[in-house]
Amino acid sequence: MSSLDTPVYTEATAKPEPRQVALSHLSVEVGHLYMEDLLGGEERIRTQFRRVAPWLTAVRQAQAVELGGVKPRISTCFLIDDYFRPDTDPSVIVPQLLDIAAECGIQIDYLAREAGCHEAERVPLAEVTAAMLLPEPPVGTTGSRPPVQDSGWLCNGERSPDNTGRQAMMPAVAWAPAEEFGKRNHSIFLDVELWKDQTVTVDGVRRVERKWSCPFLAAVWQLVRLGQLRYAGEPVAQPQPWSGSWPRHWRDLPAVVQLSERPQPFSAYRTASILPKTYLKIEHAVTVILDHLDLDDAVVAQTARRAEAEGLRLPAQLTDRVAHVFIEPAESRAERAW
Amino acid sequence: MVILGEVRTSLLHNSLPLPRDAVADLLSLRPGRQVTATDRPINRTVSPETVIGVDCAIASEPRVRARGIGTVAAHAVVVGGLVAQASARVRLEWTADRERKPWAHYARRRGVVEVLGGVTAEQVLAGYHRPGRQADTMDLGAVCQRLLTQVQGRPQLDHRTGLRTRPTSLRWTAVAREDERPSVRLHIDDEVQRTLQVVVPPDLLGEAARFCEDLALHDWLYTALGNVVGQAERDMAIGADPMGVLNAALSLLVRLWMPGAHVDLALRPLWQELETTPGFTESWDRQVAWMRDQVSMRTLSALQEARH
Repeated sequence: MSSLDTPVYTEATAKPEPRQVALSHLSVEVGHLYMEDLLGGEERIRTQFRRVAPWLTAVRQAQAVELGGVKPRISTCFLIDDYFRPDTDPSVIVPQLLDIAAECGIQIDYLAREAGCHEAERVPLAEVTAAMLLPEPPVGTTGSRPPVQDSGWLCNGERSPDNTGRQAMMPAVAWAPAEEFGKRNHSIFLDVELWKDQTVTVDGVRRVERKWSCPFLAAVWQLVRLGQLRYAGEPVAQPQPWSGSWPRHWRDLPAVVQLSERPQPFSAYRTASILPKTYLKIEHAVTVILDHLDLDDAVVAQTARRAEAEGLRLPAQLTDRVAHVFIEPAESRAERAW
Repeated sequence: MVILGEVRTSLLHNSLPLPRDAVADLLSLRPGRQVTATDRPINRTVSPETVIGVDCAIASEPRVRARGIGTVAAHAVVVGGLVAQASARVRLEWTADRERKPWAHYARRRGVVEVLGGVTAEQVLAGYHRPGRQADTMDLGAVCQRLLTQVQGRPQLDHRTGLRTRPTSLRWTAVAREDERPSVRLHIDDEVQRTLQVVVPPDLLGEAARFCEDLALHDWLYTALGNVVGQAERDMAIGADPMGVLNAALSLLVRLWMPGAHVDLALRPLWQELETTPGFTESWDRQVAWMRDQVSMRTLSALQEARH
């Protein structure tokens, strides 16, 4: 053993080790409904949960096969769309949702709020995630200029050169196509809007308010489920049990509510999301966002160490731990009936 | 394995040394990320790493076409609540790839730049140490300067300084070589620019950055003290009072001199080499002794005058 392994003197804050969160093997998101769907009658909710149920069974089986003999730790969760529609009543929506899920054989262990991905227990999760963004450098980026950030957009390659709004006397910029880096023969270029800043007037005072986009909050949602977010080393959006009646306002609920008794941990090494196919493009955007983050390396290393200690295979790339099942959206069956 | 780095060092723009908690607040540059601090033997606080992407030519000598893709890692350091440093570095890894990969490949390897093309490590090292920067090549100096400007512009500071000093810039390389004794070569290019070449065993490559930051700090202190002595001598030559500048330097700078205090034990022998030539601490001590002599002689004569 060298002198490096046994330090004679250490200090508490010299090397902050992030606090650990309990981890399941898999976190399964059992469907997603826009608020309009939740308000649109029981049948829509029932249709979706009926379609989710067999896939949930399949996902559980797949996880068991992956683990080979080890008993899988799997938790289920459902995300409520209260960020864009805070004006609805949880005391009406939640009991109905849980009843129909149970009727379809789906136990929801954790109920989470999308607004909680913006701010959970006063921790600004969206802002913390935005500070992790590491945008792609266009070819020729030397570090001489500050990176173009705060535009609120993120892409998976190089944008087409700007050809609009040019002055009459300026030479035209030759058109070139946008390019996806690391493409396979041809590009699938995606440019994602992360947020939009709006000037609002509250009590006569004008201020800028940032509205986070659905894909950005969905990326935060994945990070929380993967146990990758910390605030000053402390876990965030930890599930809290809820007993008693449901409040009238979503904001009166914790970011993540624990519904079942003694469920497996909310966060997990991997996630699977069973979603209507309408969310395909959002999840594509989520993948692009997750691929462009400078994650907390201490948390990344800690997760890898724990997986190894459990004898689990864990892909180095975060997005390789994220799986999806896309199912038929709720409306299409009704449309076909017409 | 090769690391390229740059450290810029300057006096913190504050009239008094900043207390420990204020320094931690000053260096909280990323929401949610922790600042690290050690208090003994002297407070050294380090900001969370900031990372930026690069995809550009790599300087080499002779000039060979080479492309570097990856991320630059940088952090800010404050020592003793008084000296601010910005430190940027990249670890170079050679790859046989001919094209850029999806960004996630680079994003998860903080501070690693992959080198594409037929350039050798020796050519890159020679290119990096050439005076001036080849056009369109990686610019660690700019990354440092932006970070330093960001820190020096923060509202925690009163933007006044008790001493006139000049920022210095140290450009360094660290090379890992098996079965070779750690060695160091420092070159003073001009008043503000220094070049440092370090050779370490592979397992200590990660510690090289901290050694270089420590050396940059002490080189800056040495330079600052030299300027103070020069200014005091000029003052005395024209009959002006040098006490103000001497007192400020003695009270602010002298306690910061602790070569190797924050450096990994295994790399401290590098300091020993520098203590032999040019003999940093011996020379520093002599300057400090001269300053103290001036102050005590002047205090003494002021007392004697007061008695008459």
